[in-house]
Amino acid sequence: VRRGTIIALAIGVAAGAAAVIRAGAGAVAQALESLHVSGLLVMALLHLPIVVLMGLAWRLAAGEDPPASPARFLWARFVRDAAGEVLPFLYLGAVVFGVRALGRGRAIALGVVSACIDGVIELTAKLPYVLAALLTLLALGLQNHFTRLLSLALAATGVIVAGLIVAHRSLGASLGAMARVVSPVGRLCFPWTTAARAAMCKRASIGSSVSARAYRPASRCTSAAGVWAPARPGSSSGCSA
Amino acid sequence: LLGVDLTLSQALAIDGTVVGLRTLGFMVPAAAGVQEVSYMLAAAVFRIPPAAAIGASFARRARDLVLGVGTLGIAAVGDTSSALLRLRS
Repeated sequence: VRRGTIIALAIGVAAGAAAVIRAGAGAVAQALESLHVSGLLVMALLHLPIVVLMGLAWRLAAGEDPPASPARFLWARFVRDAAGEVLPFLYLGAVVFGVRALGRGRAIALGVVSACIDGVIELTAKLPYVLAALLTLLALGLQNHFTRLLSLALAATGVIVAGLIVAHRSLGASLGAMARVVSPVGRLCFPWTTAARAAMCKRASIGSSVSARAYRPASRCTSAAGVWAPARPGSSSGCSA
Repeated sequence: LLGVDLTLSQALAIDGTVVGLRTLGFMVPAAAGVQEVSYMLAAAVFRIPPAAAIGASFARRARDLVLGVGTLGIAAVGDTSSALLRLRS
């Protein structure tokens, strides 16, 4: 873990602690108590279809001859998300865990390539979702200080995501380097991966990723349902999902 | 469940905002703090109490922790048992 990452983590934890203090630790605990274990279970169950869709999307991004079964991709996606949320890793570290869960040999090589493509598709899918959120905020007519602040932040997100999509080629190289560190088999396979990447990207990103993209809006809408479910729905539902 | 009145369109706006701000804070591992502040800001637009917003964020973390620890635990057991099998053979 790099020093910059540790500093970013410390700043994030401090910001989180400040938010809790501002909201009142007792009030936060009371809100959590009202959720109960059953509420947590509902949230977990609502999250499962999202991970399933993400796993299937990853498999579709692996092209016409995926290196593992759909179940294996689902499992790898679970591991990838778990590493990203539980362990102090950034996106790339979580992907390395996911690729390792995919299998060995060819699975690692193709897993790295498909994870690269999958990551770009995931970023691309976030843009319309974030835009929809921004438009919803504006459509609801809430022109206050927070809306302006969030609009600026979301616009900045759009610019950063667009930049990351343009720079996705270096993402593939970083993933490959990390896979080589993690696995001796990956070290042997990666020269082949580099050579195959161009062909894979052409085939997978044009062909299969069209199907993979279809999974993203569905998973994002399910994600919104995950926020809605713990709250008690009001009488006027403006559902557009 | 958290005692907040929320329509699905408001949920979409909040979740989309949180997703956007989490992406903006991609340098922070597990979006620690970023997610909490994002929920608080997005919820403030709809005049949802900050305690409920942070409660929702923590509930999401609890969900991820439950699923994550379970998944990594199973993965660790699987890796260990396959390593033992390789050693025996």
